[in-house]
Amino acid sequence: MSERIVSRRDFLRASMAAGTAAAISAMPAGLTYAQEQAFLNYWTGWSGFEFDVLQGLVDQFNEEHENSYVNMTTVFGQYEKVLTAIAGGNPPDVVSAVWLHQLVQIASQGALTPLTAYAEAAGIDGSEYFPQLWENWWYNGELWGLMCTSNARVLAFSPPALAELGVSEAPTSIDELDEVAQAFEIIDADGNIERVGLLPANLTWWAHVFGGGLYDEDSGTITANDPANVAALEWMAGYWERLGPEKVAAFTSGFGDYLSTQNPFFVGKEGFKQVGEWFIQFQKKFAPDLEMDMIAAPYPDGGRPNCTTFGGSVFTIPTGVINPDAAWEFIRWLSEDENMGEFCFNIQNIPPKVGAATAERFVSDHRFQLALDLLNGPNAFGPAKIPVNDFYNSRLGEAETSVKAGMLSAQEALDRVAEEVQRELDMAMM
Amino acid sequence: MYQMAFTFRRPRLSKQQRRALIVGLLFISPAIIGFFVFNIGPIVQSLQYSFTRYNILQPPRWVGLNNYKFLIESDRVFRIGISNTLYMVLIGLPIHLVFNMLMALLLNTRIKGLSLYRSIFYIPSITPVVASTIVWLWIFNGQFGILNEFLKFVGLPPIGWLTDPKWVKPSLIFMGAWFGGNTILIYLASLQDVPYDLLESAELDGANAIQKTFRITLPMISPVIFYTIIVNVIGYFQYFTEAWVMTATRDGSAGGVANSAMFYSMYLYQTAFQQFKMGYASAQAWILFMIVLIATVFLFKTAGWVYYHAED
Amino acid sequence: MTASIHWRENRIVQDRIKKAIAYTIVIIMAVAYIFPLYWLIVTALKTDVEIFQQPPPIFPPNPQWQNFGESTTYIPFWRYMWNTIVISGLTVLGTVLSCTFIAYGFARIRWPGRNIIFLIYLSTIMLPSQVTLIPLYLIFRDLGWVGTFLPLVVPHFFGNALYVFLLRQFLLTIPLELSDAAKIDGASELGILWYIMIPLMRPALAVVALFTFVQTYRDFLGPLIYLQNQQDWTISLGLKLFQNMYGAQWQLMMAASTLAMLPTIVLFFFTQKTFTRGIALTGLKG
Repeated sequence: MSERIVSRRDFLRASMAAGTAAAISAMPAGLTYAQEQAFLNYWTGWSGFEFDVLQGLVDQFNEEHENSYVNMTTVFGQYEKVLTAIAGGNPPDVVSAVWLHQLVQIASQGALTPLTAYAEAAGIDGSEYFPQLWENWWYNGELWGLMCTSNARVLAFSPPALAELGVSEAPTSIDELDEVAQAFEIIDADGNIERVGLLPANLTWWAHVFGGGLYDEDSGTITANDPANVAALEWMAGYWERLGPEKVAAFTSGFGDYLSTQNPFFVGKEGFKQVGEWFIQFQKKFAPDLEMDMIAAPYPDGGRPNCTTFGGSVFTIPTGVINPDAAWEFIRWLSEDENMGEFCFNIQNIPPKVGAATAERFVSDHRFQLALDLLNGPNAFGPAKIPVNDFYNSRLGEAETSVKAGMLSAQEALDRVAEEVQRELDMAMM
Repeated sequence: MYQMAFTFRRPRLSKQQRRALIVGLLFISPAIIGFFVFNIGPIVQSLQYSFTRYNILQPPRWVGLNNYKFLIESDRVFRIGISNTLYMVLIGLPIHLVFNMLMALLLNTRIKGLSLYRSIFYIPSITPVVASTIVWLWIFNGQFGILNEFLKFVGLPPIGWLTDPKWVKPSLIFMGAWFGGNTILIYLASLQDVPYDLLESAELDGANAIQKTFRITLPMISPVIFYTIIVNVIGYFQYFTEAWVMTATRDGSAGGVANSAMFYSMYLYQTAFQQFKMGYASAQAWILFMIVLIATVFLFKTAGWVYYHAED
Repeated sequence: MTASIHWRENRIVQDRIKKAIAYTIVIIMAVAYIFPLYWLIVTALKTDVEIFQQPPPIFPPNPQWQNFGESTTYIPFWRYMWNTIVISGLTVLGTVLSCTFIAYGFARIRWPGRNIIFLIYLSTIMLPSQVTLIPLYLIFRDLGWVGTFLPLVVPHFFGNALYVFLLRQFLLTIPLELSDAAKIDGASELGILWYIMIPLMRPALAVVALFTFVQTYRDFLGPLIYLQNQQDWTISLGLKLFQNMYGAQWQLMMAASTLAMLPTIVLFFFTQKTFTRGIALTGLKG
């Protein structure tokens, strides 16, 4: 009898332990905050000093808004977490770790709240923005996000380093670029690379520079294997072929942290670097003594002069957030000329608004003026507005590395990309 | 009538048996719940999802066999994932098992300091995978890695261990040997169970070491070998963390140059949790299920070489 | 006679040579197995300049012990450690508790059909976890559990076929007369389990607890899928983040990795016997 009672108590004890354990683990490890305040989780893709600049603005926002509190977290290096969180039912209230090329895709998956009505109510009708940017945020008749920064691609180099080679004029054609880049190279007796002139990357940009493109909106076709794209990729891979893919891999794997003084460009190990105007700030920060200039991409015969591709982070509100109004207020506030300008100036990005971008403090730097002109010019290209850009980019990336590794010809690789992405697109549109 | 009723009746249980049944089921009830909630239920659901297009945020849409058709006919990366995984199962696994067996046989020669060696071979297999993979990343590094430094020292050209598509998988197998030291100990434990008198009588019959190993030792421990094969085959079909950490890039993708280190589970993870194609990923999961099932059945069917001694 | 002695001498020489070869190989392999761990610590003790020195110094020229401290503030190391320990601890609790009951139910209670049901249950060992991954994620999502520890912990309160198998094997070796005698004295099944079996099972339970702990501690995929807020991460996720975010801070990454390894290694040295027993048990029989 007593045996039974004891054992029951033990059983109870055991199950209570289990229950407590479950309860402990169920407790959300969140932050506590005053109830009446709208607590906004904001996920950003910026990190390092850029994060600090933005944090300053967030603090200012929090000070000015008694009813909202924005808590900023960086998801740098783990951007896929954004979609995971939205799909997982735990979305942040505001996300800017959405790249422009992903916007259409994420919106078409039902992951974002349309901002059309909010923008209308706030009197934001796009007239202040660069038209090609504004146009890129629309899909299926709705506005899905706003950008507070923008970038245009340029080529950075150090004039004194070129002067050492006896080059006084920056290259404007591909042939000139090749010549200077090769002159810059230093290769040891074993073929190991000690210094490299250029390692062409990012087919999207070079494809446009060579006169090609990735998508034909009128016919709805993927044009990855456009002859100009093939030529661009062949040219890019030519560098690998000449230097040896394994030598390049060894050289690049030894690169230090990109966001540091060890960036190979800063230490003079790389002649030309494909960057955006934001690199000005990086250079000021990590290599203040370096003399740096920027040019538009040199182009071949039949290519496009002054060609750039643009992109950037889009501020969006996921679906299923508790307080979209407060989230919008944060985006709207950050989009005010003054705040946007402040942020952009401190990280040297192009403000997406014409007024803010042409302020004296920006355009007094001729490098910035160049980026601005490119962005505003006829040969500025944004991402294709199709819902398979992530897939497209990953296939392009695979093609690029395969061709550079000498496993496939450019034609084969891009034919394959065109076929596969077209199929994916057709399926997504079904 | 009576006859019918009788045949339909379940075998009659005594009161005691019925009580035992109830108590027994109560004791194993967590297993029953777990079996249905965490195994059978999800398996069935997964099959259902595999016939749909489903991104979680929008309701699932029935697409019939399209996912399977697309996977088999047109998904090249999926095929790469399968062939890379098979590479590990058919090349990596045999290398590991033979290597581990040789090490175990060596350790079984009544060597001194056995417990020290045991610890040394075992510890890597209990370190957190991510933590150890990080050091291997550094060892394999093309320019500053100690491995290439060694090659340079002996006058060989450096190798792109993780950047050269030809070398990624061999590198992973190499690292996998380090992680798999626990198999050495499993083999060693079973080797120590092989009755000594058997070996001694064989020796008296004039058998040499190799004969003893192949005629007596290996057959005696063949159940353990079989067990490790089964476990490792299933394990390799789920191969994920090492390759993921080794090849992950900052934008969240992984798989190495030209998908040379894209394995089945990595692609499944990408499809499901990065692209949120839950239906498509479920179809992949089911194909995986079928492959593993067929492989297991095949292994059991061809298990004639496994010797079970009578006392078991 | 002389022939026999000669033969014996020959044999001794042969044996010696064999032994020497065996020792050489084993020692070389042992060094090879230790080397990555050694290299980890050495790299952790270097400065950010020494890291990139060629050829790399084999000993840290001036050990940077502060790297360890620095690495724990570079990422919220202790927070991640605590999360990992909590998740692992709860998982161990759930596994040990549920497996004990289940194994007892299969091994010590003679109910009809127990063997066939056990076989069916055991077959779940062969189920690749990927098959159930997606539906489980969706279930946990509907429960609002994604982003908490629950999906990582709760399933373990419902048994683990491998460990049930292990405990069942163990319980079967205990003579049935023992429980029969207790039953005659009026003990219930729970009483027998608690007062008789659990004390006897202690070594086997230790194996289960230890292996479960190590397994959970090392897990990457589970936390990767289910933990979303950075402050809830486990150490494996945290280390990965380190790599993504801070690029080439190798020496700090190595320091953090060393610290992350310590718990399992220390545990191993304190419980070596249990581990060795567990290896023999888990490797046993197909």
